[in-house]
Amino acid sequence: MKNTILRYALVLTLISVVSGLSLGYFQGLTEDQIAENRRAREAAAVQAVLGTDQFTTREVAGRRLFLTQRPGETTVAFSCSAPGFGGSISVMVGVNLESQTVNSVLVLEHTETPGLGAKISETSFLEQFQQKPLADTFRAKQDVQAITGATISSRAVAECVKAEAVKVVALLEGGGVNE
Amino acid sequence: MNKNLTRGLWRENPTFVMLIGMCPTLAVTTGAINGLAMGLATTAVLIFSNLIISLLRRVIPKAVRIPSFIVIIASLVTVVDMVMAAYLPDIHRVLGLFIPLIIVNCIIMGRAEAFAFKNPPVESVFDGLGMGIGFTWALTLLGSVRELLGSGSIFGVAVMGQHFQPVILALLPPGAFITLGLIIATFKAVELNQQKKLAGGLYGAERSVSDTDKLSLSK
Repeated sequence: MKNTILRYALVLTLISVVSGLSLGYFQGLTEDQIAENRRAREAAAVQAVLGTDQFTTREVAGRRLFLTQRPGETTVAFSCSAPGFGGSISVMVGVNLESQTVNSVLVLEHTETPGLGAKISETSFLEQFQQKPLADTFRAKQDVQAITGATISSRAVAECVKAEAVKVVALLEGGGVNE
Repeated sequence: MNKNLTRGLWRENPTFVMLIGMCPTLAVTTGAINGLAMGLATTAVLIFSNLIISLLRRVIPKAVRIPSFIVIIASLVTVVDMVMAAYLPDIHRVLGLFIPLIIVNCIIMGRAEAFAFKNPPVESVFDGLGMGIGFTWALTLLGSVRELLGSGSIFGVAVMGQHFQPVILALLPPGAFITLGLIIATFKAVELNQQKKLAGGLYGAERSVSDTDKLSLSK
């Protein structure tokens, strides 16, 4: 009896140890590539919403901000996320600080229904945010054209863009970006 | 052809005949590409889990086989998850949450318990491959039908023309059940038709040894 229990424990321990070791091995093998993929995606998204690959990264109040300065024009990119219909939606937003308008918006990740909410990542939905003044309400169905059958997803994007943009602009103006 | 390989393709197809692994089947098949990718990821896990469990079948005591299977399967799925995140980031992003869920896909546990734990490695690999391909084509078919009805495209290519009005229901969860039901009905109709043709012939003898028959007899 005692021997059987010991044998069970031994077999389970061995299997777990071997599994753990091989997981460690594969983690080491893939983690650089995974981090690299994430960086590349982030950089590509920032570049897309800023319209340039010349930007500096700054950490302000726990937020990662990507700034680009041209004479008389400062544009900032940041990401934000909001609960959508099928899970969290995260978007990258570019805001022009001088004109107080949205530069452009790009959806990074979402788990919305394909064919419905998933249309938030299509240009036909996102282009309406281009040059949109931050003073607008960003209300879906009133101020923002919502996707048919996907009001929740559309609202999540619009509200998250507005709320985060207002916060980031306040942060940068308070802290002074052109010092 | 190898009997172990062909079993899962049609006669004991996990999705359309045995109706196991329904969670990923219903959840991810909103498009043909999703179905195909999920099927291939599951196939990869299934082949390796069958192989490893078959190799260890004399080492693992019967009393602790279930926890052993779970540890082995969970580790394999995590490896597939990491490898896909590193080298197939686009597909990985689409499937996202459903990759870790392969761990609880009962096809994998089911084949470990019903086949790999009792059979030698080569047979088990063929069984895993066959079941995996059976699962993959079932998911791809289901995904294609739902994508065709719901988005008017197949594999992301629009095929229905401009005036097509998409049946959005097909993409929503109830649409998964309805489409699956219709496909299984078609499947059964084909099978019954074959049965009629072969009635009284060779078929009766062959039929009596199939596992699906034993299953329906025991119910």
